[in-house]
Amino acid sequence: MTSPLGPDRRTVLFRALATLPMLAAPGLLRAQSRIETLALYGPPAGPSVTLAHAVATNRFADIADTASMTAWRTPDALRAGLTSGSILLSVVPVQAAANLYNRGFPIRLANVMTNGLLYVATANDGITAMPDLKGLRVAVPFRGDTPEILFGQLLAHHGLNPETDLEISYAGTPIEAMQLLLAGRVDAALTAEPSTTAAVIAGQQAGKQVRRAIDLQAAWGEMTGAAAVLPQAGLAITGAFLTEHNDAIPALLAALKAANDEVLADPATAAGNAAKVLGMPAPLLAASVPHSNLVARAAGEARADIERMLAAMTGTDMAAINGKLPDDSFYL
Amino acid sequence: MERTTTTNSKQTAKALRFGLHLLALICLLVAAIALATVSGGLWPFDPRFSALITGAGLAMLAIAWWPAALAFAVISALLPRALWRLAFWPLAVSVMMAIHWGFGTALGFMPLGALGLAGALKLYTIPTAVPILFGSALREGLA
Repeated sequence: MTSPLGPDRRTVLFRALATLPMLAAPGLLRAQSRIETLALYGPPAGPSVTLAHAVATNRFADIADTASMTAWRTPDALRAGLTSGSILLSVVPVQAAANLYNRGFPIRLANVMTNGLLYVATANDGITAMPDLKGLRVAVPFRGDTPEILFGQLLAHHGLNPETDLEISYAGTPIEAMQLLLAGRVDAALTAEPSTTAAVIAGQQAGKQVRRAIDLQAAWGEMTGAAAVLPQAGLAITGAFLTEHNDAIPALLAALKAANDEVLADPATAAGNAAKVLGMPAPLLAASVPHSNLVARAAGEARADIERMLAAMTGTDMAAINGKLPDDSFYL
Repeated sequence: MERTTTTNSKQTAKALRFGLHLLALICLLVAAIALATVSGGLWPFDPRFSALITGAGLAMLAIAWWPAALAFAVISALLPRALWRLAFWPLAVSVMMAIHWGFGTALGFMPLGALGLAGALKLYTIPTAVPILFGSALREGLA
């Protein structure tokens, strides 16, 4: 029976409570649309171990129905995938992401996934610093790309001219540089992880003590007077993905941070998860993790390090990144 | 008839000796892979990677010390008795250690002092056995 005076206080309170979900409805409607398939891409190198491990351990279950990780083999494959729209999220060289962004391609940097994985490897006890390379034969991979540019900057800083003071043998890849070193055709090689680890392990089997004689990250820090950090690669996200799933980014980055912590704590398990995806042996990946400086730093937090690296790498005209440092919008 | 039987038994004995050499070679390679895996800490175990690293190590030693390896194979082929060839093995390992001591550092190898006796034995025991085994197989084939 209804009171002729209208609803009593208890009824009003009950109805008010009943309408609470309706009040929240706009928020629910606004909430992220769940990602059907989170397709991640990356190079066959250290930072991709974190992505592969995150996928294998179902770290993205909160935001995506399924997740996958695929390794691209060459920078050309990456570029083709990004421009065609088949790659929406990928670990990319920071310089490449900055260049694409400055040329108007809708791409943003979400985080940094390594603080640098470049070393000069050698079996020569006399090499401990950049000046020691004077007069020696050095293998350098990826001519014109990030490792060679950084190496050139460091040589110049120490007053060495790569054309006259060193005998440089250009190699197609770090693996090729490592082979030249092991064959004794060069005295030292500029290599990136996990190739450096491969050189150390293979050398050990032949009685050669190949070691990471120069840590380029440390040499870089010494040169710039800043942190010993080379934020070489990070997760880049295209505009198409951001338009649809912008709300998922914090959860995505949190998942990668948690996965990265696990990778560092247990490289063997992570390497086992990543080996098949990256097409690289698990023991090699496991041994290279401690030397790959894997991180999951927010891009904004790493901005100063990124700008320092880009400015030094690209020279006064910054032609490699279309003439300027990326603006605020580049950093998610 | 008797001649045919003798020829057949000789061929069987030769095939058996070859089989034994092949078995010894397989055992040596398996031992080399196991040694590389354990000493190199190649975990989680990946047989292909362990084999690849072992092969790379053997190849590097063969490239650096090929004259010695060739000499061991020839000497082994010249020794008429299997026991003598077997006895030649530790001698060859000692020779390799002496050569390493004399020329190793110049060729980019670790100094013998840093390698230690155990390290040197681990480094040269199997790679020295391979050319001796090859020479022995050659001898058996020619005999």
